[in-house]
Amino acid sequence: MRSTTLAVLAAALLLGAAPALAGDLQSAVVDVQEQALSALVNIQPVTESYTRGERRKQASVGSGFLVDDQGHIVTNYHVAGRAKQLMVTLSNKERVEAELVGEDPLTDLAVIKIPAEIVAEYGLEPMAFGSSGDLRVGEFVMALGSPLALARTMTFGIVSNTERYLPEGMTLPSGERTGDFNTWIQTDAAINPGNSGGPLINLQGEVVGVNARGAVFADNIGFAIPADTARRVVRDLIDVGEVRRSYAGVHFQPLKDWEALFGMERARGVLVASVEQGGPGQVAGLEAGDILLSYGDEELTVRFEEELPPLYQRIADTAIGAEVPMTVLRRGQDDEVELVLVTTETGKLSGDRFEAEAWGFAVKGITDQMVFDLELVEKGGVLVEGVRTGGPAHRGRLRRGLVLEAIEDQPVTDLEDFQARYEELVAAGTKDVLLRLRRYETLTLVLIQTGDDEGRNGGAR
Amino acid sequence: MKRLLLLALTLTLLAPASALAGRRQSVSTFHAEGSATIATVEFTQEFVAGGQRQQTRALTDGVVITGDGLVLISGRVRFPQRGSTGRLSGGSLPELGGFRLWFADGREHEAEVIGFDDDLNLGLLRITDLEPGQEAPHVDFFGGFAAKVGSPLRSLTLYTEEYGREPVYQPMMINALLDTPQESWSMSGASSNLLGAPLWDERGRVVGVVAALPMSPWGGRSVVPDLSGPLGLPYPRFAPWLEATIEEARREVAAVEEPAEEQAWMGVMFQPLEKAMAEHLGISPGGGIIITRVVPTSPAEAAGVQALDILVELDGERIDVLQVADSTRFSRKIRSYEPGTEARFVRERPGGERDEVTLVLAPTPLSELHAERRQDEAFELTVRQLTMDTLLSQRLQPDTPGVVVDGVTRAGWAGLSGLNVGLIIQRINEHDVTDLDSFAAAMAAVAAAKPDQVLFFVRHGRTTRFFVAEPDWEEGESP
Repeated sequence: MRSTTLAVLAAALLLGAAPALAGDLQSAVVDVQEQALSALVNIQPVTESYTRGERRKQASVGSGFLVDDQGHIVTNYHVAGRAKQLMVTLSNKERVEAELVGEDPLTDLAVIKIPAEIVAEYGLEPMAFGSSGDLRVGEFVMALGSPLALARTMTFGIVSNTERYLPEGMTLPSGERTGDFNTWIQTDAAINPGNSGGPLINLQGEVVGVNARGAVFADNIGFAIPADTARRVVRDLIDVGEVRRSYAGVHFQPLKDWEALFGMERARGVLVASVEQGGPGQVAGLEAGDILLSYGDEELTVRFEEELPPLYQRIADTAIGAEVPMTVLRRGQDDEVELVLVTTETGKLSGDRFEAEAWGFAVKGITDQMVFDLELVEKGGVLVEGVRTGGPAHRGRLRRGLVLEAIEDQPVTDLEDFQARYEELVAAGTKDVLLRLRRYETLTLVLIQTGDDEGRNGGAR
Repeated sequence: MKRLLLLALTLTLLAPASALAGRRQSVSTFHAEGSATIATVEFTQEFVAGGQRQQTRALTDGVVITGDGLVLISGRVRFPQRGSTGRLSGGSLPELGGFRLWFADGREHEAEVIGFDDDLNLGLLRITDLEPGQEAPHVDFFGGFAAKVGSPLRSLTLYTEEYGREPVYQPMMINALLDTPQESWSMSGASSNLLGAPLWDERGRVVGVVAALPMSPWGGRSVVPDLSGPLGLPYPRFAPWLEATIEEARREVAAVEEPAEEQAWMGVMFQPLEKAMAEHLGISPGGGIIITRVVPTSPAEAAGVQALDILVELDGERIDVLQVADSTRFSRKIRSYEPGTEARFVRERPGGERDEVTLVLAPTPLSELHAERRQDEAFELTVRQLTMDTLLSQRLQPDTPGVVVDGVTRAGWAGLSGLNVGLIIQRINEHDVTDLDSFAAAMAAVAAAKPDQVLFFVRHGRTTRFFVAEPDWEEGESP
């Protein structure tokens, strides 16, 4: 490989082409950065994290870029999501406070905003999204951002792959599932921690991707969210503050060259791998092993895993609650089966959190998606997210991952209910509180004792 | 559970082929493989200071050294940590407790102390909450390392939670071989934060641990006055202690988990009725068990026992289970009954109301450990029968059909398809697999038909998935 490259380079030099090419490229890169850097910002969010049952404030650094003259800035959810405070350093080094407009963990995107007057006052020039669909491997690209907090850094490389598939089931540090709806642009332009949320731009200065992650233990392998995905999400976040998606509760596998195994002469449709218990897919009658041939009026063929994210996106785009006709090929049945799917709304992946400080643990509200993702028995109660080592709950052997169902035999309905009951009991000075918890079919009782030292240590030892 | 299945897939796809023996292991391979075995260990120390009991929290490093979850740590954890305000009264050591382990990949476990050795300054913990049949990623020690001045060594530690517990690569070099203390290695590049961390050689073998500071931790003089780093302890120096301690720990476990045959079983999980809990619930004092789960199809279910029932008497005697440590005594007592005999319990409700409940004890169902296994040599696949403990841990109904993948050769026909340990095979091509016999029949049918592709339909918990093996039937026939 290397010798071929060298030979080509040598040939180019001999022909005298290289200097001219290098000169064009050099000026193109320099031209683009002048315009692009104006829109680039360094974001210093203070986010709230709950670790081991304690609420903490956490400062970090990320990147973002201005997309309109109203002051909207695009960044990653894992940078600005759940931020309690957002400071932004503009390209002219001025610092401005920003506010969170909307967030979407499923695509790891967020939109924040600075005042429109600031954009006008400093003459900042927003960037425009280009098309990631037209992108070709080998195209020159530049990553802009704040790697390792080094603000206004530009790195240069090529598009290494336009449709990199990263397997389903990725999660963000905050615990939400992500990445189901897009393949990724892989680039060798250096992307390091702090680049997150910054733009990947082409030589025309258009944003073709939002830099989001790098491969661990590797060099020059970075991944960006394609502009075509980001543009839609950003539009929704700016217009309505959220992205609403349909949910089917079905997991697919590509058919590869397995058509004969499923009784087909040529591969068509997509393999249903798993159907969520109680989800819309199961209600519609879908079964693992079915070949889904059509969805709505669209015929499906998914032979490779790179084709899965567009399929999930197609389902997410369905109008929530609409009746979608589906055609299915089923083992042991000669005729195709007609089914009707009625999707539900995906809703929030994760509930809000609350630290019951006096009891020494933190909890999270339970959303519909958590019931599916965590395979919970039902939606009631709150999820124990962390337990403070040595605290009253830890001494009572409370474990994270349990669902708190009841306090003193009274069912806990949701996070708000839990918070109210907790505050009431603490205000009343109640020393001993009995909690009932569930993990799937197992029920546990935990006695929280917040008495004085003597009490909690059980007297003399 | 879903993630477990996916994790298994990812590992299969991404784990590098194991390094050839004797070859230098690349830093990235070492970093990736070693980081699954090391943990941040958090624990509490309690001591009396100024007449008051105080509790502090502290952190150290640990490494998992056996599949059943034994963890090697530094003996330093027994001594007051820097920054703690209390003073020891009467020279006693703080009381240790609340051991919790965090791994880089997000696993979290509880652990208890097995033992310490003063001279070696090492300690051993046991993870107490591994799922039945779950094997913890662990290191294996190598005793044949020929240490020389200049020998490179490596270790790993984890960043704090705020930095995502990223594993940190720590290169070191032996800069002197010391006769005292204990034929240890003086090392350059070693930080004292690494106490208890394993030392790998360049071939990826664990040859020792970071054991002691030159200054002995319980006072005394520095033996290497000009160096402040810790010393490395070669494996052969602590192997006898480790082996004896492990053996002892396993004997204890074995005493608790005797093989199943001809022991009685009631089919419940329970927690102890602690004194404070009994008081709070208004249950008579003296101990008992709170039922936390009734196993489907068990004697307890047949007798109408329900989760959160409190049983206080067995055959006329108080069930004196007052703390976790008493639990094994009760379990042992139940097991000592003859299967088929009756056990008469008294159940007490909050407020003191009592009734009797009589169970006809059954033989203990087979566990994963004692399950029957079947191997398919062509596919290099071993399966075991589906036992009650697997059903419970994957939250499946007792009548769930299938066999469990127990072993698979990574580069064999089954292994290449992605099939992995723990998955439940429910169908092979058009053959339903309900048990070992139907598995064997399906594999025989496949071997007779010699198809190009073999479809496995598998389940893990509520998630299902397909795997396709592509056997090379010719391969088996070549001389």
